[in-house]
Amino acid sequence: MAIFYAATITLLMLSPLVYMFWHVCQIDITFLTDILRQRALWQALCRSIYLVLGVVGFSCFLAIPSAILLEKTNLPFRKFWYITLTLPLMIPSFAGSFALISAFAPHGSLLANLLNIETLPSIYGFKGAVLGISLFTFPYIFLSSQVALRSMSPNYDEVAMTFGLKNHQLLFRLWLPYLKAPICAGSFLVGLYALSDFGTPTLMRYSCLTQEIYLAYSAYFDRKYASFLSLILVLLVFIILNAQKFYKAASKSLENDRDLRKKPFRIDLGKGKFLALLWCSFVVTISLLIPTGVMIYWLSQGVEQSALGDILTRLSSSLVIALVTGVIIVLVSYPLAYLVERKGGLWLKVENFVCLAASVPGIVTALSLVFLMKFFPASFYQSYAYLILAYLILFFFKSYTLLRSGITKIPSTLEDAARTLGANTFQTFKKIVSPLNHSAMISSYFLVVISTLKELPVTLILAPIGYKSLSAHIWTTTEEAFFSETALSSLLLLLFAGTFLLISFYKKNEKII
Amino acid sequence: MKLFKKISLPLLAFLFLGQAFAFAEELTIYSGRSEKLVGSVLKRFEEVSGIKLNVRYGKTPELAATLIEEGRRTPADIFYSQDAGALGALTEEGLLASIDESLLSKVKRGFVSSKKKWIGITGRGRTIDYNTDLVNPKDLPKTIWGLLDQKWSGGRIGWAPLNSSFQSFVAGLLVTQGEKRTRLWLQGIKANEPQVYPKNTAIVAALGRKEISVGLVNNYYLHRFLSKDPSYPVAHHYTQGDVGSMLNVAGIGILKNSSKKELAEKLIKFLLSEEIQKTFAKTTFEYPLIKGIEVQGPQKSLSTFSTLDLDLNELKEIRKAVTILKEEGVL
Repeated sequence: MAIFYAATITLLMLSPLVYMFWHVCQIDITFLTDILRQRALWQALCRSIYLVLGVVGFSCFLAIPSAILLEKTNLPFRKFWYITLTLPLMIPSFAGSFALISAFAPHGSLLANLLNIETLPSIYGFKGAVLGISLFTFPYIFLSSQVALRSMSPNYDEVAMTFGLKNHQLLFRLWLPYLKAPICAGSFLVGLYALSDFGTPTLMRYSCLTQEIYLAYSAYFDRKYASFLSLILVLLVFIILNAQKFYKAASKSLENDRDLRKKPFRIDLGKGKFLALLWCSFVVTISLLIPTGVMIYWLSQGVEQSALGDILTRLSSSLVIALVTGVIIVLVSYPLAYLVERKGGLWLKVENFVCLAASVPGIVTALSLVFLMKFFPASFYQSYAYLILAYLILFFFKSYTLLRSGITKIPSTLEDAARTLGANTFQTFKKIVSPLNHSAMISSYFLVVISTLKELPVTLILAPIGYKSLSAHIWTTTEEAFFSETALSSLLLLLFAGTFLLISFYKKNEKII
Repeated sequence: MKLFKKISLPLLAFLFLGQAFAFAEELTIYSGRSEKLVGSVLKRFEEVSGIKLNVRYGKTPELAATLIEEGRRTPADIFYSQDAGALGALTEEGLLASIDESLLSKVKRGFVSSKKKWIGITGRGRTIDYNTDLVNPKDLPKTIWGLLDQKWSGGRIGWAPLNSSFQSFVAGLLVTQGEKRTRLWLQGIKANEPQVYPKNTAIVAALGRKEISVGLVNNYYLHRFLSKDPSYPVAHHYTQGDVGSMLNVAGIGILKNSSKKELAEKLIKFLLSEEIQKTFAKTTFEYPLIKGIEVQGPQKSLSTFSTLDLDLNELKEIRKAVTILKEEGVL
């Protein structure tokens, strides 16, 4: 059973990689050396690396203080901040960047008009790209840190306090070291996103490797060249992955024994409360209020009745697919998260493939599944099941990462105890792991659902004809300059995500506090 | 349990069946043109002909890559492309069937494939859009070479080198004026420090904000802005006798593998009918390509477009154009 599971996952995750290799092997040597000699290619690669570093850095800057304020202090309105700090994830980064430009562009933007200034400092270039991606992806780090802090045992804080550590010492000597693993996990997701994003960097005029891949398809119509470039991207992820593992191995992780009856430890902010609120408002303003504000402004220009109907149908059908996909992906990735954490060994190898598959650009994954159609009955191709299979390859890693960072924090002694009492693996999982990992599970489900809702290249190519997705609508309306409709679908997505978070937050409270 | 049995079969069918069982009177289309632009016209065809259309809307280059990857097993009968380049790529892969001479002859010269593998449906005009508050129409250049003038320096020009219409425009420049002049023009514009945008819509939006004074774009984006806001301060300007106001083609190819060539030709015939060509001109502001019909609205009429003897059928030219754009550091 376990072997079958490992083999299926590996095979599935390997398929885009094999597809790329197959095309790359057909490139002739002289063409290859020509490519490698292009200086522009290496510059693009370097710019991609800078972008990843910039985005991860800025996202950490936004996410970590927010997560600590939320879980470790008596910050007022915690539920409100939790939801508003998660919601930016829901804004499609392309539409979000377009909104940022409308708000902050050097000439004639909303801000320039408001201040009545001729020329603002330019938003374009590296800083614009970093801003445009970070603002809509930092919640990955926020969520993974927040989940970890939430399940952290208050005993640590108490012990530290009895040793006379001051508040800021708690931060540097306890919380941040404790957060190493979840920050790594979240940063990795953010970095992956930055590396494979095409829309935002081009909009912000920062050309990087994804632009070269786009040109390989759109101007040269050369799949071999495109595969080769994508392979470079994957290689880069492979290096980062191993560097991260090396770093993780070097740092010792704290085991947790959260006593569920105990109240979570929270610092009294006192007069600092004002500053803390100011910080949270700042983050929410730039990442959520301004983009949605611009969208509401677009919306105020009016949407036709027929467009509204179309958007609502799309929302409902996309939601059904996304909710189902979420259940499937969380269920399928859960065993791997558990096995990697508890058994390691062979399972760590499977993890490698899962991660590499996640780093393949969406269009390449889509085309690799088109390529694989030869091995399936014709009717299976471009069915809902086939589409969900593609989503599984794309989002397995996301779901897995969050689940695993949750399991890390559950003391294995609990499971050992259950087993000595005669429970089998499944019972242990059901009675011990699953309830303790509840909040990680909800976060990972949420992430998969919204990623599915926003996914574009795979959906366009592999969905059954007649499946009208919301993401396609957002893309096509931005493309053709129907901004009020873009705004409407994006805002509906936000509304859905907000409701989802509100419900899951109540559930979580019941379980843990 | 009974209920489970009852719903399980349809549910499985729903999940696992793609569109492999298309019926005889159905056509499957991969459309790189968006539903917003062609959806209503295709619906009209369904009503008139009784033929059901299964349309997959997507991005032109990615659908072309999909068709190439699918090869002979493609479920598609027709590819409706946003530009000639993608149709050229499919021709190169030997995936397109020849199109009947009776259809090809309807369309103006220069807008069908020289190998008879695809046919143009509408023309998408290139133009220079300008902000009416910032620029006096008298100062606008007569040819694209006028943009090299000092007065356009310092970020007043907007362009979108990633956009395939722009790349076709450079390919047109290559064909009409040769490589040396093309490089000279690109270097000249670069010296004026143009602002780079990813696509036409972004340029028109930037023109409205006065971020730039002039932009090299396709003609129909402005009309969408104008329909939302009639006082939008941007207008068209057409250069004379050069590729600054050339037409790019949106066209159709029939997949070789398709067993429904007759139905496909019916659709093409419909799209080239006078009624539909007029609809395109009115609703999407594209140029009709059949002989004897003029464009509507505040646009330059097709007959006043200088007839350049362009043969953009060859993907080769576009590839060369992109390579030059890269070598000149534009891309």
